[in-house]
Amino acid sequence: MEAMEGIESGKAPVKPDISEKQTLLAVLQFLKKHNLAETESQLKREAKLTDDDVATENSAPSESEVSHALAAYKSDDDPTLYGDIYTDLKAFVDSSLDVHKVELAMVLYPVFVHMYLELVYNGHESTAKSFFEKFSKDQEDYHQTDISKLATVTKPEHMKGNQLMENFKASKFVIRMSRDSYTHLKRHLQDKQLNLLLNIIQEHLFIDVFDGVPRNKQQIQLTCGGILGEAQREANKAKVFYGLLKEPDINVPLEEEEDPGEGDSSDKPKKKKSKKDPLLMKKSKNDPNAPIISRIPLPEIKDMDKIEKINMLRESSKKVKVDKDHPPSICFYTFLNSAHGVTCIDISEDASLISAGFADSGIRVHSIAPGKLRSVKTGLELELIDKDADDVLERMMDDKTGGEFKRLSGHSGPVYSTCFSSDRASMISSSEDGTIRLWSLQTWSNLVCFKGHNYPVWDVKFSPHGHYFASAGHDRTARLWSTDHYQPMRIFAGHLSDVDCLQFHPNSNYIATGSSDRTVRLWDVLNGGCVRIFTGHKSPVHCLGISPDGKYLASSGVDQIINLWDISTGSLVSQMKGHTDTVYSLAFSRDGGVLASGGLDNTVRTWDMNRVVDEMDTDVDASIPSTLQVVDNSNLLLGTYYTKASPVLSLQFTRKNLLLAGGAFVAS
Amino acid sequence: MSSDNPSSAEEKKITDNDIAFAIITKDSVRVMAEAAGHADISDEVAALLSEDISYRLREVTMNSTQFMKHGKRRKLVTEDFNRALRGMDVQPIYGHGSSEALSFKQTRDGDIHFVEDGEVNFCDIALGRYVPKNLGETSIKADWLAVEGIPKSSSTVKIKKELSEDMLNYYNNITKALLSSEADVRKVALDDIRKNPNIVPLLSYFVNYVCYGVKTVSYDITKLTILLHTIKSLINNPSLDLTPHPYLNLLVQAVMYNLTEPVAASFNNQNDHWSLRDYASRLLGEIVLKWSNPLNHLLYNTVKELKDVLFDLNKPFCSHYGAIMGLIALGNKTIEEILLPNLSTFWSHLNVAMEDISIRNALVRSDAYKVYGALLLAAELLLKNRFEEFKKEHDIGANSDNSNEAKTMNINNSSSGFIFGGANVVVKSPQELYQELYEYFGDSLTVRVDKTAEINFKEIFPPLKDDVLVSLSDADGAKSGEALLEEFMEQVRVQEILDREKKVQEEKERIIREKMEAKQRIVQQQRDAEEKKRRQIQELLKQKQEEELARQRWEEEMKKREEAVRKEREKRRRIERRKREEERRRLEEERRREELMVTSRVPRREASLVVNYKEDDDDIDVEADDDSDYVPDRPVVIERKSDHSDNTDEYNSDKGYNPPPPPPPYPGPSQESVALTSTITNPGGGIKIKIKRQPTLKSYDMEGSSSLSERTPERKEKETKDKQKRKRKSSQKSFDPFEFGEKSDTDDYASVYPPPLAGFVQQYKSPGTGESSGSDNSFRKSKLTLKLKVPSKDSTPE
Repeated sequence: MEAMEGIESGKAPVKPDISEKQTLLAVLQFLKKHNLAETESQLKREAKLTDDDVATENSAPSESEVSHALAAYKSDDDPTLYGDIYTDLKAFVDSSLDVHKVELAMVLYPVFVHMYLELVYNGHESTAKSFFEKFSKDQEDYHQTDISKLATVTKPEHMKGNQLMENFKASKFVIRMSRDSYTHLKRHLQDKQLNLLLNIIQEHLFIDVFDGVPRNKQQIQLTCGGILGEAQREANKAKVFYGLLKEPDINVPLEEEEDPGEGDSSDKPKKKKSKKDPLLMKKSKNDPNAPIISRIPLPEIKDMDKIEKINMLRESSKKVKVDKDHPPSICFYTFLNSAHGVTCIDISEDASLISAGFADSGIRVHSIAPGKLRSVKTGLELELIDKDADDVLERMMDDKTGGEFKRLSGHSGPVYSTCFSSDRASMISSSEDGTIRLWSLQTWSNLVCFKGHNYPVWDVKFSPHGHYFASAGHDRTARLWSTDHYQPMRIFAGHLSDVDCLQFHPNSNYIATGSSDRTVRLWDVLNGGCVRIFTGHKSPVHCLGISPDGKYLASSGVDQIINLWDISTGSLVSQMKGHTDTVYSLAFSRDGGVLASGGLDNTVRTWDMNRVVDEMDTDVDASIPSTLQVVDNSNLLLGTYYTKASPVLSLQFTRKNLLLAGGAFVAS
Repeated sequence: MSSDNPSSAEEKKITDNDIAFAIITKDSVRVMAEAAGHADISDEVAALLSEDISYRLREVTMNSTQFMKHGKRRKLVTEDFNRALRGMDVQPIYGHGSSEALSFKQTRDGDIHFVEDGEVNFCDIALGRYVPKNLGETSIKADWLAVEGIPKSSSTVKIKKELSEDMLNYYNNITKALLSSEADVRKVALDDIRKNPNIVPLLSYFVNYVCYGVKTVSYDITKLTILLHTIKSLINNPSLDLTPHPYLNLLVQAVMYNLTEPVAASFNNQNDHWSLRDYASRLLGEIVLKWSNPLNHLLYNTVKELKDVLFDLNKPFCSHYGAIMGLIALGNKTIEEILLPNLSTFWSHLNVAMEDISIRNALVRSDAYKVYGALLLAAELLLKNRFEEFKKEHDIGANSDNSNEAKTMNINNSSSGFIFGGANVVVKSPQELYQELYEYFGDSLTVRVDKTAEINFKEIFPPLKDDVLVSLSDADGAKSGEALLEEFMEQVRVQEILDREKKVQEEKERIIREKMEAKQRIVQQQRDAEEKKRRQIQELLKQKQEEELARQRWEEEMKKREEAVRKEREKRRRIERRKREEERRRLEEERRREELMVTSRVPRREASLVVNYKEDDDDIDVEADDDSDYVPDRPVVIERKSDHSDNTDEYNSDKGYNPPPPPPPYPGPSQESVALTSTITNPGGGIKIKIKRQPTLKSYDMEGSSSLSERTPERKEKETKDKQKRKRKSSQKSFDPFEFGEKSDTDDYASVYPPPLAGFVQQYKSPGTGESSGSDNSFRKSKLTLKLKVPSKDSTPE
């Protein structure tokens, strides 16, 4: 940012002030319109706005909303100039040194887009068209989807309401550039005195200058591709507590030695002291990267959970090793005769239940463990039960209702996502109808309907600790909910397009989201802020996975590439290529040694994570993008397993590290 | 409507090398307008409309792809488009819900394009034979994709074979020909199937065709017959390999269907389904005997299936007939081993039908007679065969001395030849067999067997050349004494073998029985163990709960004690500090009052209290912007609610003995103030006081030593006891698993403070209890003694 001073020279600080004021005025107008006089006056008082302010603001820019918003594109320049200037810029890029060439070339695409939009906005349709035809082919492949969208816009009216255009208009295109290249560019612009180009670069581009050698072509390729370029380095500076929460001790005989830092338990005074000082205690007990356990309130642990935890530990002890030499066994669950179209599949954490959402609004839950699915008895019958009996939980269930599967209906549009809670007492589902529904798996009925996203909700996930769940939707937000509040607790806004998928961090303190704007973001549940932006995908992101140790984030989607990110630094660690169609599911093995992926190409592929970690360059400085080293060894692919004709919609490693996959048979 | 639709006059494709999208021309707009009754729209309007419509269409199409992607499909369907329309607040298009692509056609004259939309006659559908295909219940199926990384062959081998156009044509023609009414055409087709070596890739198609064919044309005897012919041709084609897994089974099933099912055609008495069954039985025999091997269990499975049909007395006689014919076709051994031993049960069932001579029963009776005929045939064949064998044996017996061996071998062979026969099938002599069968069939058998038997007897018992003279009417008489002896011995041997076999059998049975018993015992044991385990777990749980309760009680007490100790220390510290501060304050009082006058206007609520405190810090930085009569030098640790809660208590109880400047009412730990202290720095600016504190460690030491000297022996004893107690308690406490749960509140992020513990103040104030001096570190004890000293100065109420 500081390097922008040369060009922007003091413009920046004024701007936000104005826009803020405008927002305030807009709110005031709204209040006035709805006769909320008291609120209005109160707001005025608090914002220290006088009536004069309001009046002048109202009278002066009384243009329509659109033209105001798009006014940035207003220009009186000669339309024929654009082509020449662009050619000139291109020539400059081509003539510069090879070292700088690739970095400078990044400027071309945003300049091209904004020049075209300026032409369209100012009504030079034919010039715009010829400009477009002339230069659109020069752009990188991964911009072509946006370019084809751009091509449909030929009239100023089209720009209104077009998501892509609004994004271009509202935000700056971010380019990371080394100081040397930047100086080159600056000098060129100053020499030529091209106001038109200068304006575009000032208004619509953000050049994030770093100290260090310029990046090479490959490094640029790895991280670019977002609708609005790359992430600003500033955005990834915040500290992320990616460590795992301290597990509450349940196993009685183990607890004495549970604290390795403190050593023997006879050392009482020390222990006492640590009790008093929570900070000290945390430091000694946990890794420094873990959030403190009360960072966000988590539900109390019930007896049932403890039994579950014990079971889990017991099962985990039988976990088989899964790595390069011990490839996993894969069990595939196929939905047959699903004429209504399976849209999503979820397998419960303990691999006892599988659920599927259908395009006809229905949900089916199948039991994949021995034992049928039963409902709780009716109220009257429940009263007759001896509540002190040891098997009271068993007695509560009505055997007559037992069945291999249960059908849940309530949605009025395709169900795009379902997710079991960790205790398997409830399930959450999201649908095209804009609602999220909470289902009881004891009564097999709908408990709550959460309304908030007014548009299709693409994904919903339960927190690993239960109680909370998060949703992502077409309205470009992700939201955090708790099962006992009907309104969202946090709204994560910032994506520029649909939020297509999300994933909870294992410590429940963070949520990762993937979007059609081709970025992956990490949000802090505590304050709702965005703490990481990962750019590098060239197409919408449709699935995410976080390694069990909480350090790495894997993402993939339409571009068929699986990217592995380091959460702590925000940098790309590895890129895995092999899929031949959209990837819809990712899963880490329980020990994190293997990543499994599956998608529309009817394959399950496994990748060697141990190798990635081994080969990973640990001294990458995230603040200097040109040090980026990525593991993209072709040997990372461990295996490819074909299904008959079923896209792989869900993957899940069981506690014993058996890989379960789910899909629906699609008759050709 | 998608951007890559084929070009047409109506949707003209504009090709810009790589960017192409459909537009609707103004001519199209004009045509549509005309259709809607607006005859004259100007060129300008049409152009504008076409431009806008094209853009909107593109927009909707782009939006609709999102629905396709989330539907996890590769194909955009009309529903996606409609959903995109709904999302854009546009009325969706009704009436188009096809999941198949609609064909887009052009009129012959070339100018008009349309979506093919044929007329459907509901009458035909309703009254015709069309039965909608059952889509099947949605179900879930699990299979292994890979076992330890090794892909399962069945799932990885793609069975999908691309058929060439020619092949497909050939197949279509052949199948058409097979169903044609002209016999010649059919014959050619069947011949070709039998001889053509190039139909290998079509094998699966033909098998499929036949298998599904028999079920769909079950009303038409001729077609069934043709299908059977097709099977025959397939079998006889030398270039086809039928061994891969499903083919043979499928073919056998198809034949079995014809053989044993009461197909629709058989209800009509006019149809000669009997001959169909006969043919099927022959075909079955051909297939099974040709292709059965120990690996595919074809013979075993087929026989088993036939057996099941035969002994299912609820089935009609035509099924039984088929089953019997099938068994006959499978050979004599099957007849002997399956039919013969179970004949008695079936016989009574058959007799009932045959003896009922009422008219109502006429049809069934005739069917029953058919079955009777089949049985008779079986019996005849069996007998004939036995005579043949008998003759052969005797031929061998006559020609060589190894007849015994041959016979025993024979026995062995016959007993081990079939899996289902069991070991107790004994080759019966022709006479026994005849007698047995005679009981069932009576004279009708005699008529059948007559000739063969006659011939046989002549051949079987040829006059012995050696002992013509001794020849008597008795057959045995013709033999020499040696021969007789040998025969006798042989019989003994046979008997021995039989006995041995019987024993073996019994032994086997016994072993099996024992095994079963053992198994049952094991199961019982397992069950017991499980029961025991469950009980143990239950007990464990109960125990655990009790422990938990106890632990919780201990915890509470521990907490109280701990807090008491801490409070004690804090109080002491505060008093110490206050003493120091008082001096300081006196010096600064004048200046500060002036400043405070200014700052105290700030409402107390808004003043945020920032205290940077470290336990072993010598410098204490206190920033406070309210009146500082009271300097909050207590440690504020936000993360620990317990600290906080007892602070409140502390302040309440402190009031009593505080030095002259009384503390102002503590604002109370409201959520806001805590949150602010944690995150927001003091905005008010206020006064910054720097207080130098004496090193605390020294004084502790001093006090510690003095406290030691003050200790009485009895107290010491008590302390040690307490120590031990505490040791246990603390060890329990240190692993409190509920810490996590207790601290968090599920409903609110901030309200995590439990009510302060009541009454523990008293507890720690009575020093005699020794509660606060649990552990034996001087640090802790020193506090206690300090407290004891303090009252003299501070005039504590107690």
